[in-house]
Amino acid sequence: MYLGFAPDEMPGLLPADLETPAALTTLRFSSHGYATRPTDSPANTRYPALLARGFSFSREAPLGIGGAALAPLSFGTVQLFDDGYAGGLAEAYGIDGREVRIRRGTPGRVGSWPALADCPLAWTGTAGGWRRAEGRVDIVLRDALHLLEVPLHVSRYGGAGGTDGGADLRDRVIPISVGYSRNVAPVLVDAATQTYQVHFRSIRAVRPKVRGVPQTLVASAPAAGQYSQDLANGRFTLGAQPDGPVTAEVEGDDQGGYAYTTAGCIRRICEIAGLSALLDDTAMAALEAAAPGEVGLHLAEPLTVLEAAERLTSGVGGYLSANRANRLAPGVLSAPRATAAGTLRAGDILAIAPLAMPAGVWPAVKRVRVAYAPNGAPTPDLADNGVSADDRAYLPLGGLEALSDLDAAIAAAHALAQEPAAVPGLYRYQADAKARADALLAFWRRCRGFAVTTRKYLGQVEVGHTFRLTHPDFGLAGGWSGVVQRWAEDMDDGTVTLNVIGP
Amino acid sequence: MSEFAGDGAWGALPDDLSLASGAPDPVLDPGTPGLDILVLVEVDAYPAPVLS
Repeated sequence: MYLGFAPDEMPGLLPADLETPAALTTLRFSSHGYATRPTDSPANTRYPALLARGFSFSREAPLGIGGAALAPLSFGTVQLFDDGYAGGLAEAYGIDGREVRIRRGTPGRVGSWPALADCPLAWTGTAGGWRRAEGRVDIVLRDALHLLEVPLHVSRYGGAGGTDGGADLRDRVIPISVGYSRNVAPVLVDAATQTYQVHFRSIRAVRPKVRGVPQTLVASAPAAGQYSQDLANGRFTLGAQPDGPVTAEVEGDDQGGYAYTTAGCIRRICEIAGLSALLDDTAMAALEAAAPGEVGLHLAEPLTVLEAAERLTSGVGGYLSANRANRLAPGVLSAPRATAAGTLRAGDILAIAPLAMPAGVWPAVKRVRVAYAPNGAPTPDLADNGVSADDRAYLPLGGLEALSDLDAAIAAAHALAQEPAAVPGLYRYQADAKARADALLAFWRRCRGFAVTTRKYLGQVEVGHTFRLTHPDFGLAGGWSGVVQRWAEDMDDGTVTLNVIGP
Repeated sequence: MSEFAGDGAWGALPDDLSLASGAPDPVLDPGTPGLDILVLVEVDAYPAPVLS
């Protein structure tokens, strides 16, 4: 079907793939008009000059301590001129949920664009769909984080009785437990047999308590004060009607091994949701190394994979982001590495300005708090006897907090040094929470940063990369290293702006 | 923190589940600064049903 002319004076034809509707095809557009070379793959393929403008996109980690791990998503659109051709494509094709790839190329000499193989990928994401406007067709861009906006809970009670739950549980989600949870409210699935459930499939261990009194595990039918367990189905059965609140200490999902670190739990919830292919292994390994320690989440109410992953990364004061390859890349901003990913000297820097630090960490931070042992079911109603002193103090609380050491030098130098809101940690142990608090303090105690604009390193920088800056101003003459908290690229003028921060 | 013997599963964590330690940052290619940037966009697409 002949639809008109693309702006680069080449006739616009609907691709032949339209005649074979079963095939996924690739639509191609460019800023300047481009055709691949005979030696490229695909060969001799046109990219009509339909991009109305270059565009800018960015990624960032939240700035500060104790806030949400999810930075604002700043995805816009690819704008196409519509003289009939692009509009025709929008009518003829569905692109929502399909992959979008953006490549960049720089001219080798006047009038000569590089081979396709020399136009590296700058960004990969997902199309949200077409959006029509007057004289224009937009492709809405999304990234991997949107793919996590799906329900995490895959199993619900049927309400048929027994372990399928009674009518009161019909269509309610079966809880999910990953990692360690010190005190949660199990679901009573069968009142007649006093059977409870904490997870929809196999767990590593469970320890029920009645009014804070630990029950005794038996292999046979339990009597009063005892319980039996069905670890393969995340259930346990009490020996008698309880005389107060039933709670449980849980080491959760162990299908494929017990996952218990922050990175391990993120991987496990993505596996449960069938999304583990979205994870960036390099970023996951870095998160594992930077934030070890046993953590856990018990999720009795419906929520999305994104929300669960966000809670886990918030718990270590980290960030949840997608990288340029459209993979989930959670992480924590931590001390710059000895070997920088990139180096910018005065001659490379088009503009530089100090960054204003947010109120929570400015002018300085003297101490950081990280929560641990979050209590999913605070239990004020405790039995008079049989409750350990530890539990008697802990069970009525919402959780505990670990404090970093006080930074005496900062406290002395900065009369307004802060102790920001506690990081919502999910740690099992105080020592792990304190170690994370100390690490966060080391990074944020007197954090500074610079926004630098350059034409170098286009299409490559990721959040968390170490950059070394050398500049005659701002005390940077001797060189200073920080980590990238935000990057933004303007494809119109080929510039990259990096927010580089560090202690 | 209380430890629980239970079925023997409480206590020491399996140590073979940890992921590899963090790799160093890749050293990036500074590239050749240019004033003109060619931008190529590729979108996978599926033929839509024809609306009558």
